[in-house]
Order: sequence, then structure tokens, then C-alpha cells
Amino acid sequence: MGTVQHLTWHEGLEDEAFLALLRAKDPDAVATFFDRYEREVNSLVWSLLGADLEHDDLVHDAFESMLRGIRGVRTLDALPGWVRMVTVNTVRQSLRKRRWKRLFSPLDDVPEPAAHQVLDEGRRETVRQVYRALDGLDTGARAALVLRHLEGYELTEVAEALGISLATAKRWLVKAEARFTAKYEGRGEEGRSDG
Amino acid sequence: MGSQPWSEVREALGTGPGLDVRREQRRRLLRGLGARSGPSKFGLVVAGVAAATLAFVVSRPLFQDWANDRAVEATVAALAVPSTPRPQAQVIRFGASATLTTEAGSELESAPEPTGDVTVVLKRGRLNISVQKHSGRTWRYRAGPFEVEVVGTTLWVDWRPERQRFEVAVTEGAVMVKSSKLSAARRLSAGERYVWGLERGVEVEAPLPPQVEVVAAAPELVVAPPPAPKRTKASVVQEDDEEEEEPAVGAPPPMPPPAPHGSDIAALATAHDLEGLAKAALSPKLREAAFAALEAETHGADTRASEALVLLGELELGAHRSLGAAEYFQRSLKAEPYGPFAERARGGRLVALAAVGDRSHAQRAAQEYLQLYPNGARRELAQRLSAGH
Repeated sequence: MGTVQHLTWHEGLEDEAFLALLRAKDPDAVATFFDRYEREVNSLVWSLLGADLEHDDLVHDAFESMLRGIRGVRTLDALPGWVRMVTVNTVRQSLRKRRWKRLFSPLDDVPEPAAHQVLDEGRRETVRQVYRALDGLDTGARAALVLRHLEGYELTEVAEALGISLATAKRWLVKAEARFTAKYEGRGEEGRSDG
Repeated sequence: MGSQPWSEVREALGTGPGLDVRREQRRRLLRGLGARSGPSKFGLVVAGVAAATLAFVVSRPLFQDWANDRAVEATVAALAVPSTPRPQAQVIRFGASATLTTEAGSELESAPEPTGDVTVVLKRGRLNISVQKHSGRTWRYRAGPFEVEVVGTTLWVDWRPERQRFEVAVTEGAVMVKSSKLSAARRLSAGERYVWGLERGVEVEAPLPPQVEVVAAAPELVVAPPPAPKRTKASVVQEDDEEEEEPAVGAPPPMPPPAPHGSDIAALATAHDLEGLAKAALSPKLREAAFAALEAETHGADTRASEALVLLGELELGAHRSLGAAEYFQRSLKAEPYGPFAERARGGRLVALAAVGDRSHAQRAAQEYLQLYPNGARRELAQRLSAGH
């Protein structure tokens, strides 16, 4: 039974006690939990979607999901991997909703990566093209690529965050890279219709 | 992947939103903690399903009442047309509220009333009536000058206009009989019967004596006097108010009636005496005479015959002569298939057929019994026989 490190409020508090407080939605415990994981969650959402207009909502949704599902977590050691998985699932769910929305109302302008937030003019177009190519992939492939290449996860971490086996993660990555390359390099011809 | 721009994108995007944005995210999450105490989506769905189920359960009886009211109204409307004699016996259902069984040749009409009550006018013939309790309405049956008011009961009403004879018998519950011919309304309870009519050319008001009495200790049959003496209309007095004449002090006790023989008993037998005769037939000495009297009653085609046949069948059953019993019950049903003794006859026939071991006939008879009398006294036997046990 370890103790939580890097935290001030419940330093020395046993895992079980902290998880119990978190399950009870104790405000101090929730604040501590947020402070511990918000950087990672923000970073993941940011990488998966780019500087998206719904970024804050998705971060909020991810933490809400975590607070609802915290009952299933037995030890604090499992928390980091579980937090990543919930965050990736929240983003994937949002991407699926956007795809359906686009299917039924193709004229609506679905939020695209807010590339305008990228100050460097030269890189702004690159960012836009990368996310347009990612939009053409299924959500699993997209997440695998982003986790591996933007977040720099190890293959085992990619597999854990996606809730799949290592072998499946490798297979997904190979396919995703091939498809991404095709779309990114053919970006001039395909444009947004790929999405 | 060398041409892929991951490092360029990583540098362009940076580390994500700034500190202010993240602080706002934290405030938002903590602010929402209180609001999460509400029900989840699943809880809302469960609550919705529960509410819908509850609404269905609560409204179902109301809907059934409504549907039943419409069925009653439809039947009343159908019967409101000018009546014609019904050549065959008929079962008329007023929704689940009441069931009438008419005798062949009966004539009846019904009339809706603004209060929701129902009045059925029996112009001629016989009605077997079964009214459910708590049907929410009063049922009135008019026959000539008589009116029988029913709340929830089983009875039969008989009206013969040509003879000006009215008869009502109550099997379950109680009814009120009203008429201009009566000085006051009469209340009849289960097991009571009331007859009014012109007999032998003399108008009489003849409430039935409770039973023909048999003095068990006496060797002879003592039949209680019939409702005579006959009185003219002018001298009609309610029997309830009438006091029995007390013998004068010191007067000799009244002479017992002479012991009747078979033919005398047959002559005395009236519709009222049949039960008494059946009891008498249980006495070994009177058995033959009582049987003869009952047999004499079986040649008609009215209630008296069917009752006598039922009693004979029951006597045969009591004497363990099942075949003879079955025959009597069958004859009773032939005389009056839907009369007031039909249920007893069908029930007795079931017992007799079961005792004889005629399974195929017993099964058919049981099915018929259950169809006509789902709550009848012999339903358990009928259910067993119907199932082939």
C-alpha cells in the first residue's frame, strides 16, 4: 500500500482513504486529483484535437467521467493509465459525434482545429493540414498516431491508453501511419472532403 | 515518416492552454460537484419507466371501467328497440357488469337512464340475472307492475302476463321488490323467493312460506299449509304484518292432518312443496309416495318440472344410483336448459357422470359447465374433469 506523492493536501494519506474521499466527491480530494492530472489531460486533448474550440468542455467532460468511474479504480498506481484511457475515450467519443453531425448536416461548419491560435504563420498551415489528414482517419488510428508521435508515448502506453493489446496497437499504428501519409501527402488534391 | 511534420506540429501547438484557462477548468469542475447529486441518465430512464408502469397500472382499472361502461351502453341501446319474442334462450352480456339469460319465448327491452342506471323491462318470460357487485350502477328489472332493484346479486325473475303471475328468487345478495300491488317494498335475501299471481281465478298475494316443513319425529308427512286461505284483493294484507291465530285457551289441540298417501301427496305438491317432498323421500316409509309425487311434477315443461327432476336426481345421487341421477339431471336440462335449476342440474350431472366413470361425457359436460358458470359451486370438479383427471 503506497502513498500518494507530489501532493500536499493528502500527503501521507493512504491510497484507500484518498480514493474513498474521491469516490465521495470530497471537494479537497477532487481539487487535488485535478491538480495532479490536469496537465496530462489538457496535453492529451490538445494533441488529439489541436487547439480546439471545445477543448475546455472536453477536459471538463473527461474529469466528470473520471469522477463517475472512480469506483472501479482499486489503487492509486492504476490511476495514471486509467486517466489517460478515460481522456482518450472522451475525445474519441466527441470525434464520433462530430462525424455523425457532419453526416447529417454536411453544411454545418463542424469545429476544426483552431489553427489560428498558432502564432507562427509558417507553421499554422502545417498544423491545419495535419489535423485535416487526421480527420480522415478513424478515431482509434488517430489517437494511436497522436499518442505515439505528438505525446511521445511508448507502445505499451499507447496500448494501455487505447485499451488494446500491444500487438493490436502495433498493427493499428502501421496502418494509421500509412493512411496518414497518404492523406497528408495528397492534401492538395483531397482537401477537406476526406473528412 | 521523415516527411511527416510531427515535430513541427508539436512545437507549434506548445503545451496546451495557459494557466488561466486551467484555473477556470478547476473552478468549473469544483462548482459542478454539488450539481452532480442529481439522478443519472440511467436513473432518469428507470424513473420514467417506473412512472409509466405506475400510470398504466393506475389507469388500467379506469380504462376498463370506461370500456365496460361503453359495453353496457351498447347493450342497453341494442335492447332499446321494440321488443320481439326471442324464440331461443339467449345470453345477454352487459360488459362485465351483468349477464342475463333469457328463457325461450321471453320478451324484454332495456332503457338507459340519465344516472347511468339500467332498467330492463321483462314483458314476458323468465330472466336469470347475475349482476356483479360494485358495478357502480343500479339495475332495475320491471315485470308488469313489479320492479326489482338490484345492486349486486344473482336471481331470476319470471313474469307470465297471461296469468298475471310474478315470481322472483334470489340466489346471492339481496334485492328490493316494489310494486303498486304491494303496500310496501319487500326485501328478499339469498335463498328467498316471492310469488305473486292470480291462481284459481282468485287474486292473491302469496309470499312464499319459508319452507315446507317435515316433522321428522312423526311417521307421517306433515305439509305446512299453503298460502291459502285465498283472499280477495280487497282483503290483501302483507303477510309480514299478519299474526298467526293463537288457539283459544283450553281449546283442544288442532287435529293433525290425515296421513297422505302417494296420490294425495301428488295432489298436494306445488312448486313450494317440492323441497319438502324431496326431504320426505329420504324417509324409507315415504320414499315411494314422495317419488311418485315428484315424478308427477316432471311431466310439464316449466320450472316445477325441472326442479322436481333436479331433486330426483339429487335423491338418486344420495342413494348412489349415479346412472339414474344422470338421467334425471339430463331430463331437467331438457325441460329447462337455462332455468333457475340449470346450474344445479349441470353440477349434479357432472357428479353423476364422474361417478359412473363416463369420462368423455363428463369432460364435455365439465367444459360446458365452466363456460356457463365459471364461478359455479362445482367449478373445481368441473376443472378437474375438464382437464381429463
